Order: sequence, then structure tokens, then C-alpha cells
Amino acid sequence: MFRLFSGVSQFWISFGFAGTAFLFVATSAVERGNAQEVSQESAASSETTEDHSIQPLDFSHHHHVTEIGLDCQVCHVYARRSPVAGIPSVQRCAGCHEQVLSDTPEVQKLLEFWENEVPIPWVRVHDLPDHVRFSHKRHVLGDVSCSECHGDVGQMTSAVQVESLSMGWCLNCHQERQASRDCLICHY
Amino acid sequence: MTENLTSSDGLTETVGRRTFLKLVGGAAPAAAVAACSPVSPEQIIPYVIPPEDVIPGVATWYASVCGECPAGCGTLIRTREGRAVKVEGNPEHPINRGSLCIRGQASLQGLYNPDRFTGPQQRRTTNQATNHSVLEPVEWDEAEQEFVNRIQAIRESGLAKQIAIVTPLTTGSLATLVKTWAEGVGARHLTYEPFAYEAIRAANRITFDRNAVPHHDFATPRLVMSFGADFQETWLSTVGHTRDHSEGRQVQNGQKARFVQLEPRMSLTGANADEWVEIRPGSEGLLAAAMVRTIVSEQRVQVKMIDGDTVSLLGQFFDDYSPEGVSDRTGVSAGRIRELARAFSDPNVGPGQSLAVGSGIATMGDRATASQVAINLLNYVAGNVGATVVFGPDMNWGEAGTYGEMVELTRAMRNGEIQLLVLHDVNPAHSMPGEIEFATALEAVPFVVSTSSFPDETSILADLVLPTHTPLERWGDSVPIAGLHGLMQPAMRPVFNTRHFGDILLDSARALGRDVSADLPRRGEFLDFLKDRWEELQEAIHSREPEGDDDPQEDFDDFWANAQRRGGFFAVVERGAVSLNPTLLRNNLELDPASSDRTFELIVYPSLHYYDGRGANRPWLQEIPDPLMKTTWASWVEASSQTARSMNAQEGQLIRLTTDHGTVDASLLINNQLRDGVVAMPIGQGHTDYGRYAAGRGVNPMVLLSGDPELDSGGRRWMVGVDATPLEVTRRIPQLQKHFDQEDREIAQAVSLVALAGGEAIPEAKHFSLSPEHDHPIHHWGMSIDLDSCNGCNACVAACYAENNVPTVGHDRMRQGRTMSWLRIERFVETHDGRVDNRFLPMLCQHCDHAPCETVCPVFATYHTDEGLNAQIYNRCVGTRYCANNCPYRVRRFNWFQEEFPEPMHLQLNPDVTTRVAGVMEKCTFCVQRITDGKGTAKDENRSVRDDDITPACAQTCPAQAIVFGDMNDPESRVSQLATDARAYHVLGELNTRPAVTYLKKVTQSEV
Repeated sequence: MFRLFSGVSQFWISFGFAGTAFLFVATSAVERGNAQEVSQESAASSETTEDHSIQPLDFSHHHHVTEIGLDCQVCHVYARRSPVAGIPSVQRCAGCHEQVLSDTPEVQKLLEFWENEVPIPWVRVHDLPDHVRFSHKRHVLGDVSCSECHGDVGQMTSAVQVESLSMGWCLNCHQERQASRDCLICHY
Repeated sequence: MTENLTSSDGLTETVGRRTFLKLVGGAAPAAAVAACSPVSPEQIIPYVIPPEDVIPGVATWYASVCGECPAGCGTLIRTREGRAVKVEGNPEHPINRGSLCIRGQASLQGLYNPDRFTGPQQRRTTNQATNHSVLEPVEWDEAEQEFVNRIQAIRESGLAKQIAIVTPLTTGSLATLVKTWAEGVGARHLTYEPFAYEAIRAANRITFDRNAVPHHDFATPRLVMSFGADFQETWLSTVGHTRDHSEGRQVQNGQKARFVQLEPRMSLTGANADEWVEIRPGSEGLLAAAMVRTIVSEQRVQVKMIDGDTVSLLGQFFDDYSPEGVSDRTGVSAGRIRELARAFSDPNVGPGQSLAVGSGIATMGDRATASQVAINLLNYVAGNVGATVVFGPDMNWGEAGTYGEMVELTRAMRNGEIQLLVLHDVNPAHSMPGEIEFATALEAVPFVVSTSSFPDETSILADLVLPTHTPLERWGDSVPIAGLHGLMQPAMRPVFNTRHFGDILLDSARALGRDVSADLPRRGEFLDFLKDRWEELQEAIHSREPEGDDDPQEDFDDFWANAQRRGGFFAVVERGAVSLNPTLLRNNLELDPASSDRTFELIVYPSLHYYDGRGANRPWLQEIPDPLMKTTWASWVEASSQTARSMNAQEGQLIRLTTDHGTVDASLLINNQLRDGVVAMPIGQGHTDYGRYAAGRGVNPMVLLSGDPELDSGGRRWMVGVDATPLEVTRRIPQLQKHFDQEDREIAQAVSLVALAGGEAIPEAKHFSLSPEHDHPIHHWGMSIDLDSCNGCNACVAACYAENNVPTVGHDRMRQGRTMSWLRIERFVETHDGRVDNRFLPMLCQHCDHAPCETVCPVFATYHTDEGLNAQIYNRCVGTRYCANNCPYRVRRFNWFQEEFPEPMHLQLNPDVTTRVAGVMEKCTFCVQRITDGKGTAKDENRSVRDDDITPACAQTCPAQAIVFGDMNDPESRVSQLATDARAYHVLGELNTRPAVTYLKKVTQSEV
């Protein structure tokens, strides 16, 4: 910075300049951070706006859960057996869809994956940082219903994240249910 | 710093340093934050067709057999999502009963070794003029066709006998297949094990007319006398022996079984003995003979059913070997020899209560067979044969080929008498004595085929490489002891483009035509062949009509499924009575070791880590310190201070060693538990081509050994006379512990048997504390480590590396002391009246109740959980390292660097454990992932946690069962009982850290 002013005022003006720059960038970063919590930047303005373009197939939970009546664990089969709930295998989808609605365009796309033995590259909607060890099994067996964390999935035509999944949010529930809040249960 | 900037009027102005920093200080975080971009969304990939036995996130276990040495311990392999991540001992296998040695733990690094052959290779000459050629990748079809064509051509010329196939010691179905293949082809088959214990077999032929290696019982004897047999390291079946011996050495009724080791160099086994007797190399036979003579002459012969004539013949046989007479030749006083002989044949204890073993690799020289005969007779007169030395359940080493046969093969190769050689998983170019010049002889063979998994000194010379599966990837079986059939299962699909050796044999035999494959099934893979053999096995056992549960009466499919689940079928084989060979006593035994003209005697000893050299390409085996010398990534020559002075050499100096057979240069390491005038070198290093971890490291002592087999047994001689000249170069060996003196800090404590029996062992005083006590409402995890059982073998250290994704840092960083190991074995040496008392102390995070590390963390990344663990939260740690500074036990490790796991080693990483990044602190967690898992299982089953639900990796693998883990809140748990044992104490207890780890003092037979 050029020495434009004298002495003390030089300092304060420089500090103010740097500080403003910092605050500007920092707040926009925070905003961006907030935007991350809803997985799409384009959906920053609304919590429940669904973006059908992000997934390789336009799978509707609303149709399968509410209209057909499938329970979560029919497809997410590992939820009560494993830390991971699992995404249904292509075989599971094809199991029905080789017969059901097999001539509609989205199902045709699905069957192409099945015939070519290619796994469907779903885009992850709920993701926790790598330093968090979350166990679906413990929560499912602990009578935490899927919608408590995943929202009313049955109404979604395209899956979105509706809860913050931040550590504070997790801890609130742990406190209410008197589950352990020891650091080591999730971070080891 | 200041910068010169030009102002608008052209004069240079300086911006003061402080102002500059203020500006930078404001802008830098802004820049840093601006640089962060949102993480792009991850994908989540489903299975196409989910594999039946895999639940993602949950481990699947397969029972199998370890293939790292012929001992054939049973294993349980833990797999995650189709990848093997941990190998443990199989609790149901009678040999190892759940324990596994350091080499078994490191088998994963063989499976995932980045330097393995990735597929078949064929040699192509690139330059006719210089005869330069390279191995190039080729397809399996082409490679196997080439193999078949070559054999076909040789057979058609009537030279089938000039085809040879060399395999390691193989048992069970694969052995049957190899034999049938060789017979069909008309080829000769040899087995090659550098450690083949030929002398034991030959001695048993001579003594008992049995060409066998018997089973040895280390649990029953009140006195075990080992003449240099390192039965806790490499001798025969070390995990089984250690396990038995550890049981046998528990203090009972104020008594403890005695263990004496007689050898010129204190091995790790010897370091755990009550008495280590330093003897002249090669004098084992003289000692045994003098003892037999004493026993006979003092009428202490314990064996029943022996007639007076035989007794007197025995006496006469050893008449020349009086204790006084052999004293000078052995270095042991006559009084000592007598005392040992008397203790060995104590009439108050009765027959069959002692055990003498010999023929450790390092002891075998010119008189190996004769010495073993003397040791056999020592067992015989004490009534041990049939009691602690048991024929019937014979060991598989009885079927190994001899070194002499391999020498003969090499001669035939050199003379052009071998047209085609198949080498399977053997490395004679490294492990044969240098003067045999195996590699040169190999060049005289027109076509060499290697079926090895790894490029090594031998396989890189091959014309055709057909790489095969490692033991973790294949079907098979193993019969290490007659009647014990272990079933080897693949734990995962092959990592590389390899094939099963059995399939290569089956396919090639079929391609060669019906006359070759007549005795082999026309169809099917090796797995089918294996199942057929097991069906035959079931019928054979069933037809012998054993009792009850031992009778496999079920349907074969059930038999097979049970065998897969259990890890094999374990039948009991009848003990066979043996008697003395009548021709034995007619021949003379030549027991005096031959002398040499050279200045010193060199003994070459087998390595606990590298075995015969095969382990050198596994980084854990290189990095984990040698149990006695605490060296890493190195090889060396050892001498006592006295010997070093006589050589005019200092520690670290390079010594040129010259024998009649070769020369090597090795750095000197002082070892005062080595007889003066003797130098020693470990086997296993000095590879020139065995992957990045082994190549170019250390020296190969095989260069120095004689190529001539020992006459009686065809075995190799591992001792030789040597001259030593110090060179002007110093190359110090990296050592993690440079001295073994506790300096009166009473870290590793001992109590004498007398004091213990007399109730004199004083439990520690309770300390007063100012800070409030921690509450442990539900569980309070604790550990107990028995220093009396721990033999320092490092199995626990390797298990911890495997379980917890601990990185290896390599030679250079180990030299700087940057080891990352969470668990280390400290060796301390106390001497009393010239007697050496070794103490091995496993040191790990003590999970102190008053932890000095917890109070100094500025960000609360380490704290005490309500279950008694000292938690380390990686994502919170900012790396001040104050905690490591404050830890009096020095168990915290900082990630100064980001260590890499070269592909496919990263597949070994345990997904249940975070792999740490640079900048965070790590340490033992008491295997918190296993604790969480164990608590989860108990919760699933709606019950409380049981004592054996949770076992950390170290405790799980220990062959000596020294480590016990459990809940100190449960008064019935083993760890609670042990915490109040008379021998219990805490390391550095006076610091009032209140560790959760209790140590049990070592029990010495004599005064501490």
C-alpha cells in the first residue's frame, strides 16, 4: 500500500481496507457454505425446490413410496444391518421394471443400465464429511424414523436434503433422546 | 520484511514491516477463504447385482490357512466389500488356536504388494548382438500354449526326464496334483525349503528308524532344554510352540517350569529362557552326549521297557564324552552339564516331563545330524519319546526335499541335463549359497518357467512367467501335522491377472494329452479336484470308525460346508510307538565340530521377520524393529565388544567378511549376548530384485556359506569360518533402541519365584489426587499385559499396523526415529551375577485416568471418555504437539508427513479406522472401532457386553496370550482379576497417571 496518509491514519485506513475485503469475502463464503447444505447452488433460495436434472434417472420417491406404498427398507436394504443404508442395486430396480412400465423412457434408460451391467451413477444427496462416522443401523434400530433426518421423502419427486445435518443439529437430537454426546462415538 | 515502492513523486518509500504484516494479515484469510470452493457433489454407486455374502459396511470373514511358512496355522480373514483387510488366527485351529505371528499378519502385504507380477510375461530378445532380453506382458492363452508346446517338444524327443519342477514344501491336494502331474509328464519333482531341517529327519532315521519330524509338546515339560532351536521364531511351528510353552510356563503351586537355552548367540527364544548358556558353535552334540552319559552313569534312565544291555551300550556309546572331557570343547563347565542332566531326568518328577530340542538353523553345521542323534538319545533316556516327543502326528517337514537334492539339480542344470525347469514360489537364486551359482546354472537351462507371484532374483531370470495366486486368493489345503487338514479358501478375487497353480497344472496336463493326464480328472478346475480329495478324505476317516464327533458321517456337501466354516477337518492321529534303531549303537557318532583356519566362526541365523528372505518385501516386516537388536530396514554383522576390539573395529564400521566361499561387507553391531570369537549375521536381506522394499537393502549372508551339503542328512551348513577386516567406511544401522538399560526406573519389573510364592510381592500404594476422579458409569476399559508371557515377538505390533492403518515411513525416516507405530516392544536387559534377564515390555497408550496429555491440548482434541479411553479426535487436532511432549510414556505419534500407501496397498486399509492426514496426532485407541462394534453386537442381541466380546488387535494375535482386554467395571472379567494380581503394577506409576494398562511382573526363577 502506498504511503498516502501519515502515521496513525495510514494504519487505520489500511486496516479498514483489508478488513472490509476480508469481511466481504468471508460473508460470501459463508453464504456459499450455506448454499452447500442444500446440495444445489441453484436451489439456494428455497429448501424444497427439487432439481430433476441432477440425477441420471428421474426417480420419484413420491410415486414409489406414496403411490405404490414401498417401505424405505424395501430398497435401502442395509439400513438396519449396516452403517450404510445402501442405494438399491440395479437388479432390485430391474426386478420390477423389467415388466412394469418397461416401455416408458425413464424405465428404458434404467433397463439400458441393467442390460449393460453398468451401475447407475446416482448423485449423492445426503453426505456427511469423511471425519464423521454415522451408523444407520444404530439409528434405525434405535427407532429413529427415516423422515426425521431425510424429511418427508414420500412427497419428493426428486430427492433433496431438507435437514441441515450439521453437528449441532445431530447433537440436539442426541440430547433430547439422551443418547451419548461423547466425541468418540462419531469421530474415531 | 520491507519492500521498496515508488511513490507518485518518484521517490522510493518503504512500507514498515508491521504495517505490511497487518495488511497481509487481513488479506490472507480473505484470500484463503476465497480460494475455498464448494465441494462438488459425490456420487453414490449401487451394486448392479449385490454379491450374496457382502453387506456393505459389515465385514465378512473367511476361514483359511496361512501360507507364509510351512507351519500351516489356521486363519480367519476379515474382508470388507470383497477386500481382505485383516488376517487373524483361527481359534478353532488346533495349532495356533487364534494366534498368529508377525509374518502371518504381514501376509496382506504380500497379497497387495505393488511390485507383484500383474500378469503373465514372456521373454523376448531385444538385441541379438548383446543378447539383451526383457520380460513382456503376454496373454494367458498364449503363455500357457507356449508352456505346453515346450513340454510337448521335449517329451517328443524322449527327454521328459530332463524336465524338473521345484515347489516349496506342499501338502494335501496340491501336493497330490503336483506329484501326479510330474509322473504324467515324466518329470522330476523337488521340494525346496531353505529351512528343511534335514538333520532332524536324518537323525530320527538313525535313532528310531523313522524318517519323520515328530510333534513336540512344549506345554507339559517341567524342563525345556533347547540346543539353539529358536522354537518361538522360525523353528518348525512357532506359533503353536509359543502358545504351548506359554501355557506350560504359568506359575502353578509356587512352581514354574524351567527353560534353558544353550547356544552361542542369544536368539529371541533364548532371551526368554530362565538360563541362557553360552556355548561354542556346533558343540550341541557334545553337550547332549555328556548329559546322556551322566544320566546313564548315575542310573537316572527314565525310559520304561529298556533292557540292561541297551542301557550299558548307551553308556559305552558316549563313554568318551564325560562332562569334564567336553567342558573345554563346549565352553560349559562340567558342573553345569551335570546339573542340567540331573534336572532333565529327575526321578521325582518321572519320565516324560522334560523336552530337549535342537537343530535350530543357526546351529547346523558339519555335525548337525550327529548332534541331533545325541539330542534324540537325551530325550530317549529321559523317557520323553512317546510323551513330549511324539511320533504319529508327524510334522509335514518329514516330506521336504533336502538341500543336497537341490545341489544335485543345480549340477544337472549346469551340465545341460535339464531342458525345462518350472520354479513355483521358490527363490534359490537368493537363498542358495553363493558358490552354488544357481543363477548361472539357470542360464544353462534352455527354458525356465516361473509360477511365482513376485519378481525376485529367480523369477526375473525366467523365460516365461505364469504368475499364480497368493494364499489369500486361492483354494487349497494344508496338512502341517498328520491328521490336521486345514482348508484354504480365497478371501477375495485375485488382485492381479494371476491363475491358480493347480489350474495351470491341470490345463497343461490335459493339453498334453491323455497319456499325461490319465490319472487326472478330465474336467473341472482345481477347486473340483480339491473337493474330490476331500470327499476321499471323508470316506477314509469314516472308514476308520472314529468315535462320536470325530466321525464325519454327514453328506459330503455338509462336510464341505462345515470344513469351510471351521477352517478344515482336524482328526486325531494315533501316537506311534518307536524304539531304538538296533543299528544305531553300532556306528560311531562324530560330534566334535570341525575347526577352520579362519579367525572367527560365523553363524548365520534365521530371521523372525524375513524367515529365509521371503518376508523382505513386506514393509511392516522391514519397519518393525528386530526384537533383539531393534534395528530396522537393515542387515548387519554382530560381534561382542571383545570380538570387535580384536578386529580393531567400532560399531557402525563396515566389516569385510571373507570365508572360503565368498566375501561380503556388512556394518558392525555390538551384541554382547554373543560368544567371543563368533560373529553372527541375520538371514533375509541382500535382495537384488524383490521389489522396492527389499531390493538393494543389506547383504545376503548366503554368499559366505559353503555349498557342500552335510554328509549325513544332505542339509546345508549354516556355520563357517570367517576372517573379518574393518574398512574405512562407517554406515550405522538404524536402531530404534540404542541401549537396553532401564537406568533404575523400574519400567519393566520382575519378581522372583521365591518372593512371589512367599507373598512378598507388594501391590502398589494408592496415590492421592487433587483432581476429581473420572466417573465410569457403564464400562471402564482396561488392559493387562503379562511380562512373564510376552516374548517380544512383535506379532502384536504388526497386528496393530494392519488394524489401524498405521503407515510405514521407510528407512530414512526410521533413521531419524520417526516411527509411527502405536505399539512398540521395549527390550530391557538386567544382569545379575553375569546372568542376563531380558524383559520385553509392550508399550502403548496407557489411557491414563490422570492423563498428562489431556490437560494441555488447547483445542480439547484429546479428553477422557466416560468409558475410560483417552480419546484423540483427529478432526479437532491442530497439531500443537504439546500432548506428545507431555506424555511420559512417549506413545503419541505426530503425522509430520503425509505417508502414501502405494496401490494396491491402499486396499488393505481398514475402513473402520480413519486414515490420518499430515498435521494430526495419533496413538493407540484400544481399538475403539472394535469396542464400538462389540457394544453394538451386544445391543443387537439385547444383552450386556461379555468379557470376550471385545479384543483389540494386539491381544487377539498374541501367540503367548500375554495381553488381556476387558471391562474393569465387571468384577468377573479377566482384566479385573489380573488388575489385583500379586504381580500387578503400573509403569511409571509413581507419576500418578493412573494408567488403564496393568502390567504383571515377569517371574524369574532366581533372585531379581
